[in-house]
Amino acid sequence: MRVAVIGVGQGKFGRRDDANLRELAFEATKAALDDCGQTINDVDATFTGIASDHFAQQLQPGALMSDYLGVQPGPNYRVEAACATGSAALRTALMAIKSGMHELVLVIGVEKMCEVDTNTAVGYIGRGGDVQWESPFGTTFPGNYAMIAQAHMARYKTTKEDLARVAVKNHFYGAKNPYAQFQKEITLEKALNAPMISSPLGLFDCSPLTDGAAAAILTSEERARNLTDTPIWIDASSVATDTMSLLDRKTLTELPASQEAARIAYAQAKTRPKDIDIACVHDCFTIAEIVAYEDLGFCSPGSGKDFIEEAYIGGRLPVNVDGGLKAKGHPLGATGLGMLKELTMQLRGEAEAGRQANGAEIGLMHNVGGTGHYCFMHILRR
Amino acid sequence: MGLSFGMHNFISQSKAKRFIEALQEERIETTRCIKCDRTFFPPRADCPHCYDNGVQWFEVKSREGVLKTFTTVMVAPQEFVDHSPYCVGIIELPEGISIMGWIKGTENGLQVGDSFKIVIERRANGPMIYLEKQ
Repeated sequence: MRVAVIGVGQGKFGRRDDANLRELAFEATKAALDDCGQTINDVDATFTGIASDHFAQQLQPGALMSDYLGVQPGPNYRVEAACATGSAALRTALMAIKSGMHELVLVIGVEKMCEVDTNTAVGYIGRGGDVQWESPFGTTFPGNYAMIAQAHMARYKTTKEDLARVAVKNHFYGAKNPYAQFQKEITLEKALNAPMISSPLGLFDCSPLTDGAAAAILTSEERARNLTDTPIWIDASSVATDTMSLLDRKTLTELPASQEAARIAYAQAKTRPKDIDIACVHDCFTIAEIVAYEDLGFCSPGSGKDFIEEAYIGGRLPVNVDGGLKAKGHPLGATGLGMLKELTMQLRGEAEAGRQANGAEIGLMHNVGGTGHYCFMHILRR
Repeated sequence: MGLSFGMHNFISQSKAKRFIEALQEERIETTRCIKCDRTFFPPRADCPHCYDNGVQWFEVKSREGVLKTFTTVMVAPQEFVDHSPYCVGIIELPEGISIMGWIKGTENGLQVGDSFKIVIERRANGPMIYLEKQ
């Protein structure tokens, strides 16, 4: 049975001092329901993606969603997979429809990261690593990806300028996206001269702390045919897992979970990397986008730096033309569903002027949790 | 409460606490599965392959290895703000084990592949691992 995305929505990503966790979720849910002309009463089940209870200072946030979104007394399942939480919720919802247990579902991803101060938030995210053996050394997520960057630079001669070029590209498109956290272009010089966060990653190599939500309405093929003329089909859904600790990795220049998830997804959708028309990849840090090009087979290992110019619209494969996590923002639980919203708009031909990929038919979304603890991938087709 | 590991310990109890106790005596010990002989580092009390109850402790003799990667953390977690910036590195020992520690000095001039040695610092509340360029 095929499953369709019939509605998508999001609120503005960014530092949202005007709204809390529940209110952010409501904005996205209302937008997704309006997008497909459904009401919350049409929803059989809700799947809530929230990565951490710590940021919003709210335990059992799933129950809060049931309450504030008007889901009660219907079922609501809370799902978590670090930064890939949104895609994990999407896949769980997909399984529920395919099983026949639910027919029309709401998937909501939300995170309120700016309720706590920056150092506290950095500490919480760092504890997404191995708390027993790594956190005692003050490791952080920028630090972990910085170590991946350092290894990649040493092995493949990737440079800090290459990293900065990813940031320049993603800010170029973020400037065209009214939902993005940073709607401003940056120069290579500005990126290279920014303060260091964790060497060699500077401020513009890192995705920000973000408040935000994104949502989608999914349904079965039969129901979708009755409800919309523009269904977007989920042709593949895959997931792979890998070690928690970087100390257990044989290599630091690739993410084996991404490679495995890609292998499964391409086989399911009967596609090859060159068939993909548009992609959202997990650029939590600039180095992560370069590694993703390589892991997903867009280019050969080590040549990611040569693919950056191909990732603009007009190049071989537009990547992160919504600004990516880098410029659009990275509200952990919402990120995967933000990608789903972006690709749905792109495949419908409804993206904003200046960042619509021409005639895109097949879209790929790649959402990594932790430093490759999880990778979820989906391939969409119009 | 036993010994504290590293600069700030978050986990107080573990079946693998012998690693920290040995480190405080300047020995590096870790575990291997008695059944399949796989080596674990950091140590595990359980083998995820065999699901057998037997792991045995052994001493890792090497103190020198090769720098795999490093970073200087400028924006630190709350518990580490007073220490930053600090340089975290991973070195690989001849046994194939990767070990994390703080690199002594700054990252200036460091390159992946450099030779390093492990320096264990015994403090009153527990051991800390440093890495020093040879």
